Amino acid sequence: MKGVLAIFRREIVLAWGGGSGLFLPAAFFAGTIFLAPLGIGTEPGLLSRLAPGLIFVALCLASLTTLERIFQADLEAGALDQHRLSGLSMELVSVAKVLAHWLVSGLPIAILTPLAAIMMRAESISLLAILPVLLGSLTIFLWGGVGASLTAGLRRSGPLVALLVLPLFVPVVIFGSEELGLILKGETFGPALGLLGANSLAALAIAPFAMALALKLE
Amino acid sequence: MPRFACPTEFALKLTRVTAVRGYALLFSGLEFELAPGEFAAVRGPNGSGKTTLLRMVAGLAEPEDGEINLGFDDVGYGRGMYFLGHELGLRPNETPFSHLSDWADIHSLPKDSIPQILERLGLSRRRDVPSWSLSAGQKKRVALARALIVPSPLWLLDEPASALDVSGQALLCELMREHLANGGAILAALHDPMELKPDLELDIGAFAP
Repeated sequence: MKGVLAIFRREIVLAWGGGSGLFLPAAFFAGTIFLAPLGIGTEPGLLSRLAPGLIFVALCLASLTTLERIFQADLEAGALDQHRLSGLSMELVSVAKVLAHWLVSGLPIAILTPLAAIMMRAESISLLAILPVLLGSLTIFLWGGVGASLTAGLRRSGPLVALLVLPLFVPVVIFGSEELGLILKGETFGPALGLLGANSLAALAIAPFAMALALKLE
Repeated sequence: MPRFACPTEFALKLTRVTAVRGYALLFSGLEFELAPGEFAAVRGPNGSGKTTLLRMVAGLAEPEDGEINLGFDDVGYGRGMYFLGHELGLRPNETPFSHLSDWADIHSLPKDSIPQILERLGLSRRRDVPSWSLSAGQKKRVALARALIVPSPLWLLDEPASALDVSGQALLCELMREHLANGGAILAALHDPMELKPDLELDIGAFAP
């Protein structure tokens, strides 16, 4: 377990130091949300009605800018071989890598959500809006990790990762925007939050095994 | 350095090992035994499967057929193998020091020897620069340092001397000699002759179809 934590820490430091990791997806997300009102117009009520869906679509697309890198850098460097020789469970190693990338790239997007809600003229702005995006981004990164592990050996695999994992984002977008819509209307938690959480847990239960298997085949 | 315990007579035993890469049969029926304290050189022309053999022994690839047995006792961390491949395991933005300290952490091993190890490998002045700014030889030295941080009984080296300068090669031989004296074993794919003479030669060209 100590070894897995060391990999988690190493991945955060390297993703952070890699430069683009932290700001690229968050900037992409902010840019999309910033452009939306310019394209849609500011007709009363329209933006706030579109806000939850747009925020989740922007979250999915913003995550795709970085997902392919989760395993690629280590595979290219040969560090993945070394991880396998370390005798640690590859399931845990891949989850550690995904969580580190999520912390550096996904979490900032969730934190930006209240600001995005202001941009979209939501009726009620609260920090609770972070929660559905937090859960949603976690699921997106776990499934994204599966796509990334399958394509880590390929060059320019970004578009392929997108095609592979976009179908898996469907429940996140449906339940996430439903729940975010409730919160932005000033209500609190609805059944969608439970489904969103269940979806995250399902990803957490399945993705590690899929990733470990895919990495063994690289 | 600890002495490596090996309860069996062999450190590594290959029985009728067959390897394929893609659609090509590389070698079949490979038989080989390596005892603790021995250094074996794997020889063969390009594409004969030297790297594949090392990766199979390391458990990074599956043999098509046959058995690979390892003799050494569990060292309590890792799989007891040091693998030096063509890719050295260094990410472009990590420094020699951070790399080694991460590797010690990953194996839950102490880190206090890192400065001496870096000194010994001639990397002290480069310990805090990102590895993209290191030369190929310096990167190889960092990868060699990993063998000292995480002592493993079986060394699998793929062209260990490539990219190393004269002093680097001398150092490599010195490290290998120490490792053998400690009861470790070495299997290395070699093209060029090394100053350290191998105890055994494994010509896998002879097992090609």
